[in-house]
Amino acid sequence: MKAIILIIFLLCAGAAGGITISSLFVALDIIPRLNLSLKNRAYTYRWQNSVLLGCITSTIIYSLDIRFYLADIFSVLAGILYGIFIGMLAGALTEVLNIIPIITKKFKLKNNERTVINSLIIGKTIGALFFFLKLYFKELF
Amino acid sequence: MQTNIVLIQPKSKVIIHESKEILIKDIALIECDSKYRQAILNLPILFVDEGSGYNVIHLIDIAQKINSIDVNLDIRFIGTEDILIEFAYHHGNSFLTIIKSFIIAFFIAICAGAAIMNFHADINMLSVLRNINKILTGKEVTIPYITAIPYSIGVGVGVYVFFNFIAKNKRNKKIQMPSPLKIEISSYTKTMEDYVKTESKNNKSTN
Repeated sequence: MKAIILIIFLLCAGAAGGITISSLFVALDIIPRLNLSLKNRAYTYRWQNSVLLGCITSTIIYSLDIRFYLADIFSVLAGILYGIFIGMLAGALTEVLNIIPIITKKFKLKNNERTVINSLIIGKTIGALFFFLKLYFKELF
Repeated sequence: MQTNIVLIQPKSKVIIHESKEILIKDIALIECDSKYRQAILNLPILFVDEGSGYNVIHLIDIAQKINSIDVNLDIRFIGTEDILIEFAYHHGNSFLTIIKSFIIAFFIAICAGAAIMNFHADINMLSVLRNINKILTGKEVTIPYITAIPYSIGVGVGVYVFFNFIAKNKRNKKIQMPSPLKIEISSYTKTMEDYVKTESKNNKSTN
């Protein structure tokens, strides 16, 4: 009896987590944007399924503490892909929060999207590098 | 057979750079009988003074002006939007603008870097990367550089992909799909202009 209640409770908790993840994907327009660049609407279901598959497999791998013992290059690859996703997430958040339109309006800078995007890219990369290399410097000295 | 129908399709926004008399042909597209054509196109609507800010021309103003030519004209509007006239000084690429854009670029870069560092501290990114490294290679390290440095470069690539997802094709003359930042700026501007138009319309009374 206890086990059944626990299972139901955990199912609900898992469903809440899954809904959060998928609404994050939908609300921040990441998949629709990727779909636009593909110029084909036929693969939408495939993309939904890949989100589902990724969530389930990573949850299982993470909670069962499975290790693969692959070469280092796979870790590099995973780092790049994860970074691209976080970069898109950060871009979407910047867009939702309406910071850039207000800045360009206030300072009367029109047609300067290139500058803004380039400075965003440089800032994000240097900020992320600094966050990790700060610890490297601490380790050295 | 001559008709007296005047079709008017107003533009939603007009930007002018010097103080001048606004004519109807500046603010609307007009189709009418050739007898009235020149008279209507060159009808002055409003004189805009120097100084940055907005003026709003309501459709009823246009109707009143055209009625003053000939009362028998049948005026039909295509669209219901009022016309916003923005006065903006023409800056061009002056030295000040370049300096200002550099300062803004620097500011945004610092903000973006600080925001991503905040985000990393919030979600404990280091332990996440340590976990990824552990799952894939099986090694336990305190700081997984082989994941962290590609990740940092990937963040930049991700922002680039997000904001420039369409390859630019300038050879043909069709309108290309704009970048999401342009859409966001345009929708913000549109909301603000709608507010200005509505305020101006509600505070107006017929004289």
